[in-house]
Amino acid sequence: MKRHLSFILRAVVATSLALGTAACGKPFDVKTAPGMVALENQRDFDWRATTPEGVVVGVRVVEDEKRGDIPFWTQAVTLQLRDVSGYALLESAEVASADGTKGRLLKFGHDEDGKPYVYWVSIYLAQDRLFLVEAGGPKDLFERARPNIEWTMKSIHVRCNGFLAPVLSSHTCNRW
Amino acid sequence: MTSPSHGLEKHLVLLFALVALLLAGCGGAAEKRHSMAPNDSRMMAQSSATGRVDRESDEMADAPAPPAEAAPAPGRNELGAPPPPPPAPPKQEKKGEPNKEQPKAADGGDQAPHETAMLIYTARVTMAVYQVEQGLVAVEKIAKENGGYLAMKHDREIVIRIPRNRFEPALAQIDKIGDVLHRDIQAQDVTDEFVDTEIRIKNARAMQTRLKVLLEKANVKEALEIEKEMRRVTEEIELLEGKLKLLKDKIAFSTITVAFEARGSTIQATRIKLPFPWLSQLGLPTLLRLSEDR
Repeated sequence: MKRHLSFILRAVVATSLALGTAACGKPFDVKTAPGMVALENQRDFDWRATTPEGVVVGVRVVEDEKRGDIPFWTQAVTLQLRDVSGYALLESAEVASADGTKGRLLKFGHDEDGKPYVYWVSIYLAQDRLFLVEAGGPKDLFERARPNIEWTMKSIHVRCNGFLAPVLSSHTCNRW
Repeated sequence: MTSPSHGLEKHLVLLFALVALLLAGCGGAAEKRHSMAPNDSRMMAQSSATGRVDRESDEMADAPAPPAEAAPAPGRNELGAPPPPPPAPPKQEKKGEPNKEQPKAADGGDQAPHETAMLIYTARVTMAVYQVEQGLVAVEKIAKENGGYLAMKHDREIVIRIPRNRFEPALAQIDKIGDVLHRDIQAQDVTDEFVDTEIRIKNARAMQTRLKVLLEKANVKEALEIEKEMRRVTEEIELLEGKLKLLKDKIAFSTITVAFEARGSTIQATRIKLPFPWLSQLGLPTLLRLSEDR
């Protein structure tokens, strides 16, 4: 009986570990707003969804960016978009993800082919990773889809809340 | 022998006399103080009037002369001192007369260059590329509102000319229409060039006058030579006058260029590139390119 229990326990632990390490999910959770469709097989993004008109929300996870803090990455992103790409910085505000992680939302504007476009990017730091939640589209269409965009951007979970978190490394926890 | 009532009466009289003296003394003192005041005020009035005359002697040259002091005028006190003169009303500027406090260099006047620096102001404002059409319209409107005009307009660039004294306010207005990435302001001192051109014109005109005098006395052969020289001098005067006019215009109207563009090329050359390749992928093109799947 004792041997059986020991075997079952070892099997459970091994299965958990195997599932944890082999998990091919993403280290965040985000909900697709009504009126949007999540896209599959993304190359540059870890997740991306679009409205029928082409207003897009995307999540990008940058691994091993534990070196900087939010002000550092905010400044780096601002310099890149504003000074190099010529985007107009319209607003910078503190935001929080659905799990309460504090981040920074930068709102930019830019003309593409003579038409005004809107580009937002939220920056979060969690699990030694950098989470970038981007949204953009033509200004008029973006304004129309804005409630859905904002809802999706706020729905992201970036923090590791699972019971395995203290035991396992951050690479295996929080995989939805 | 005196009765007690008589003694009391005597005391009362003495008391009254003492009180009367005291009162008279007080009144005298009061009157003395009262009479001092006009003296003081007269002195003050005189000194103040003197000061005014000294200060305003030039400005008040054509003001009516003060009345003669022979007969005391109504309102004068017993010592004949005139009441303090009322403050002079501020001198009204004639309509259309330029404000004398404004720097003359601003309008490119002829007298200014020798006294103040002749400066040509130019500014280049680089703005982020967002709502460019609206931005161009706004800049043009600012030029008109400030008494300036449109000098040039392209798809993403506009050049306006603004009166010198409206340069800073116009720049402040331009700052509000978009996200200013870079601002470059230059003040070019052209005092030497201005003065030099003026002197050269003066000399050429003197030469022209001398040639005219010579022409009157010259024979045919000499006249041909003198006319040739006069043509050259006249051309030189025209060129110099044109140059002077251009300088005056550049001084009187500052040039502001507003360009809607990224500073990418300049920045790349001067700034250290961060070793994070994902940074350069940020932006609308990557986000909105939906066709490229894994």
